[in-house]
Amino acid sequence: MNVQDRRRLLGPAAAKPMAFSNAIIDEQQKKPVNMPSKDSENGDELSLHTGFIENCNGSALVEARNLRHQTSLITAVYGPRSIRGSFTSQGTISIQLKNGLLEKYNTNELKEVSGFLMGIFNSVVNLSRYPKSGIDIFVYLTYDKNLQSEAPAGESQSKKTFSEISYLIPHCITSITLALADAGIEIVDMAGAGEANGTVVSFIKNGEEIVGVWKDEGNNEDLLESVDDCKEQYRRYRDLMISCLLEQKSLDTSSS
Amino acid sequence: MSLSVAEKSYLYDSLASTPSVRTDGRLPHQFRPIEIFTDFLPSSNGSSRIIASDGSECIVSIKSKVVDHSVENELLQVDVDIAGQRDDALIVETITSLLNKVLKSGGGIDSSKLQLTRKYSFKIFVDVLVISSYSHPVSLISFAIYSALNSTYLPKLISAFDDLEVEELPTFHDYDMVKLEINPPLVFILAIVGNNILLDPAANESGVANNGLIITWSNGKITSPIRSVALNDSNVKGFKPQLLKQGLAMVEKYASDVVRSLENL
Repeated sequence: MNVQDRRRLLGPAAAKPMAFSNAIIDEQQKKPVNMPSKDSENGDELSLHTGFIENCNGSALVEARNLRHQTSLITAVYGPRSIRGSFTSQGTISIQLKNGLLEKYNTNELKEVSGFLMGIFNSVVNLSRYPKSGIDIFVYLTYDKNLQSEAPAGESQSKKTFSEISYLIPHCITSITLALADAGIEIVDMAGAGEANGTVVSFIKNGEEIVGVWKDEGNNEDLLESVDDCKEQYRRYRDLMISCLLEQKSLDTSSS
Repeated sequence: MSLSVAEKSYLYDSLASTPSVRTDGRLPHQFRPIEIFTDFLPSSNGSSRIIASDGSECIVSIKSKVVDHSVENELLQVDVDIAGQRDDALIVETITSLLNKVLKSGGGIDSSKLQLTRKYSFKIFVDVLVISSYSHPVSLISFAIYSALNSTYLPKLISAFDDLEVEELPTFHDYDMVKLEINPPLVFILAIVGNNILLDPAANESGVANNGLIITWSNGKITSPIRSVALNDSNVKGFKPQLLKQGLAMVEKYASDVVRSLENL
C-alpha cells in the first residue's frame, strides 16, 4: 500500500514516497504490458501500452496505423498533486500537446487542440474528488506520418485529404484516457472518439453523450452522418481500451 | 463578478428549465444589443470597433500588402491580442488558430477577389485587439472582422492584369480606392445548459453552462470549423447528440438575420 499524500509538497524531485515491502515487490514485478490490437475492418491497426514510464503516476503509448496515417503518441499523467495558492473546491486539469522531433504542427494549432482536450477531460474526470489538486497531462507526439502517397492511386484520388490534426485527436483522447486509468484517477466513463470525413466526435456513456466535437473541413451536411460513424469507431476503441486495462490488471494480479 | 454556489445553482435551474429563463429576459436565440463603428482608423484600409452591452469591446484593423501569390498561399492572416492576456496564453492562441481557419483562403474566403494581376495578389492582415471581454469573445471578434472587411477599401489597380509576359510591378491610382467585395464568414457561439441551447451567452450564463458550441456561417450555410468548447472549468458535462442538431438548426434559422443587420450598417 502506498501511503504517499499526494496533496502535500513532497520535497526534492528525487524523493521517493514511503512504501511497505509488498508494494516494493509489486513495483519490481510490474512490467510494461504490450497489447497490440488489430482492427481489420477498417485497416486500422492500434497498439496500446500502459504503465511503462516509472516517474509519473500514469502513462500510455498509443501507436496507430491505417491506410492514410501512421502515428505514435506517449502520454504521461502527473498528479493529482497539490497546487499552491488559495483553496479550490475541485481539481484542475492541464494538458500540453508537444510536437516530437518532427516540427509538423503550428504551436497555436497544438494549443487549440490541447484546449479542446481540456474541455473534454474537464467533463470526464471526476474533479470534485480532487480538491486543491492539479492533474498535469503531457502528450508527446513521437511519430506522425501521412501515408496518403503510399496508398494505391485510386484510393488517394477518391478520398479527400482532410486536416491531419483531426486524425490525431481520437488517438490523443484514447491515450489520455488510458493514462488517467493507469494513474488511478477517477473518471466518469472511458472517453473515446472516432474520426469520419474530417469530423472528430468524442463520446462517453456508450455513445449517449457527446463530450467534444471538432470539424475543420467541409460543410455540415455530412456532420450528422459522421456522428454515427464516429460512434462506431468510439465503441471499437473503447472495447480495445477496456481489454487492454483488464489484461494489465490480470498480469499484475498473477505476478503478485 | 463571480457568483456564489447558491446563485449559480439558481441560475442553472432557471436556464435549464423549459422554457429557459435568461437573467436579462432574452429569448434563447436573442443577441445582446451591440454597437458597431466602422472606418475610424485613418491609417488602415478598413477598421471597426464593436461594443457589446456588457462592456466587452473589440477593435479590428485591416491592412494590406501586395504579395506574389505563387509564393504566399494564405492571403488572409489574423492576429489576436487580448488585453491582460499573454501572447502565448491558451485563449489567445486558440482564438488565433480558429479565426485563421475560419478565414482560410479557399474555405471561407474567395481568394480570387484578392487577386490583382496574374502574378500578384493583396494579402490582408487582420489585427484584432480585444480591449475588454467578459464572456467568450470569439463571436464578438468575428462580427468586428465582418464589419471591418466590409468597410475595407483597397487601392485601385491601373497597370495591366496580364503581367506574366512583361515584368512589371502593379501600379495603383493616386486617390481612387475600390471596395473589397468578399463575404467573410461569421462565428456563432452557443451555450448548452441542461437540454437547452442559448445563443450569445452572457458571462454569467457561460459560467454555469454545461458545454458550448462554436458554429461558422458562410454564404448562407453552415460551414466548418465547428467545435465544442468548454465555457468554464467547473460545470462542464457531456451533452446529448440531439442538442448538436438543435444548435445547428438554431444557427441556420437566425444567422441570416444577423448577416442582414450587419450588412445594413
